Amino acid sequence: MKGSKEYFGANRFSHIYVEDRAYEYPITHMILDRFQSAHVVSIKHYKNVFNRSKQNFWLQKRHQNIILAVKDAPFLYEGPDICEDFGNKHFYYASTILNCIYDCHYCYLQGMYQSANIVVFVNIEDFFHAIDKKLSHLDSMYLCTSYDTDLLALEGILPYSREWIYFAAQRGKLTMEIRTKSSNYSKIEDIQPYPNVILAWTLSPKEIIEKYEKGTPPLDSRLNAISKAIDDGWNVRLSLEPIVRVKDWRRLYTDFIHTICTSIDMNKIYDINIGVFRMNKEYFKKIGRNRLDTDIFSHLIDVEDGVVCYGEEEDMKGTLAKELFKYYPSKKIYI
Amino acid sequence: MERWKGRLCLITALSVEAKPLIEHYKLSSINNRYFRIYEGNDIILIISGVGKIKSSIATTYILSQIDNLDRCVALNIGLCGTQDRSHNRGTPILVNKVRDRDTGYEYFPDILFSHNMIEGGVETHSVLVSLENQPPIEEKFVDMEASGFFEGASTFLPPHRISCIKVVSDYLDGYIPDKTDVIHMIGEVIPAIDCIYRVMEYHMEHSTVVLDDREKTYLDRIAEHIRLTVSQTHELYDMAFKYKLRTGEDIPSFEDIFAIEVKTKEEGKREFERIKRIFWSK
Repeated sequence: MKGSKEYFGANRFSHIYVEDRAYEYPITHMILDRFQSAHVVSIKHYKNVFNRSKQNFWLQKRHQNIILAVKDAPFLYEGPDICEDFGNKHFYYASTILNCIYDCHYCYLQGMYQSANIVVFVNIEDFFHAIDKKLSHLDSMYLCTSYDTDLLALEGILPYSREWIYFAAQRGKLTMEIRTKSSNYSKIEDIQPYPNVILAWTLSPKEIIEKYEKGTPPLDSRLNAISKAIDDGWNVRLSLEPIVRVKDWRRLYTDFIHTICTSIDMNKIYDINIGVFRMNKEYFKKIGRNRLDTDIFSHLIDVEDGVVCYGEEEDMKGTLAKELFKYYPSKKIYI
Repeated sequence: MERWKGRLCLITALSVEAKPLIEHYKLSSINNRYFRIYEGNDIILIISGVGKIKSSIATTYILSQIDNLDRCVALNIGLCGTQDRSHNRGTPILVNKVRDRDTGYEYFPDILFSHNMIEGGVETHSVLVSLENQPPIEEKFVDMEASGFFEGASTFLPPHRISCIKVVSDYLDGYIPDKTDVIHMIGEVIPAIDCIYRVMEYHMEHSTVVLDDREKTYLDRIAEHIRLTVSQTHELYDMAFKYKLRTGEDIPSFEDIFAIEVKTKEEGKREFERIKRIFWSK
């Protein structure tokens, strides 16, 4: 038996839970091949592991495991009101992965899920069929595929961004957004850009990234990835959210806008959205009670229709927008 | 009845399984009407009897008497059988899944630490499984208690503080190890128990505490002195908790409050508003 020191901290993905029916899918075997030293545990249904009561989300986050599962319908959800629809009429999202490898203090997933383990739905083809079926009744569709995870961050393990891009490429009625904080652009740079695919990078000031976005790439790396993507001809969206209220937020975010706009060619940016930190009240309460390494949930907040927000929300959005207007046309800024 | 202080709760089915643990950890018997229970040095051990129902009852009983469940882990130690003869008798198995044969329910501990034990799934049967009486078995290992233990333990504890070690004792061939063998086999598992307990203890000790006992007592004194309602006391705790997280400072001193005599609700409310202003001033 090894000494106690060796017992602390399992590696990430030390266990892979596999739904019995997921064994039929090639993605399952690709992941099992990739993590050959992991303990493989067969399960009847992913919820038996994912939805257990009393799980410690934050402890699990440090030792994340993977759950490979087959998603049953519905595969497509209507976009929530809290999210920007960018003026699109038919706004939907699809989640082929639940949870994220990053550990952002403000992330709503901590309040939404019981578990920090990453669920991968291996039947991505079923998502595609469901979208095709929906598309046949619509003149257009706006689809977000990276809401409950960061698809591109996982691209090295699971090439789902690639799969989604190829899928969208053949469907002109579909506009698809892949949102990320990753600098993993190199994993998809061999793919030609498609006009109906938007790569959206979430950006925050360096200080916010260091304090609140644990495990994410630094701002410089994200900006480099963006520069390469726009040079290659991709539609790139900048998502400046969530704006977090810190002591000197005005100066921090003003400098941040300046840094972005002087680092990348803003003429090539597809559009920009600005969003201040907001969260479902129940999620906020749950995370605030349990996440003890952050001050995000300890400030005075307002509650409007079950959503937690800052009293200074309009001021914060206005300040950033005003700064952005100096560099970028206002009609392409969504606030 | 005084509640037990145990931090490590050991649950075994048989007294022969418990014997090496009682000796190693120097546990003493407690007088109890319902179960054989032993305790000592933060450890408490209960002998449940054979079968998942008995295991569930014993696990529930012991955990319901524990003083502080936030500082407690539960371990089921016992024997198991397997058809896989590549595992020698005496091999300890760290259980990563339990399947109840009768209900089909599955239970999973969170194994958030690295180790060098063999991991496997255990299927809990209500009756003894042997070659003559062998129903289809889905998991590699077979026992008679684990699902009951998990059902009971999960009512009280999070999955990263529930664990189960089973020692391979037979190949479902009707072989019954003698007492000396069982004592020896369970004795060999003690280092693994120690390691699992240490890592679980590490997780507990390193969990952040925002308000310590001293501060909680102080807040209670304030609440009592200015006659706060239960809901206002919760609000006081919440403000103090957030103040510490937000500022990184100790909670402010409210000593002057104790010099004020609060006779009416209105007076208490006034003082509470003053406390709120101080907490939210930073």
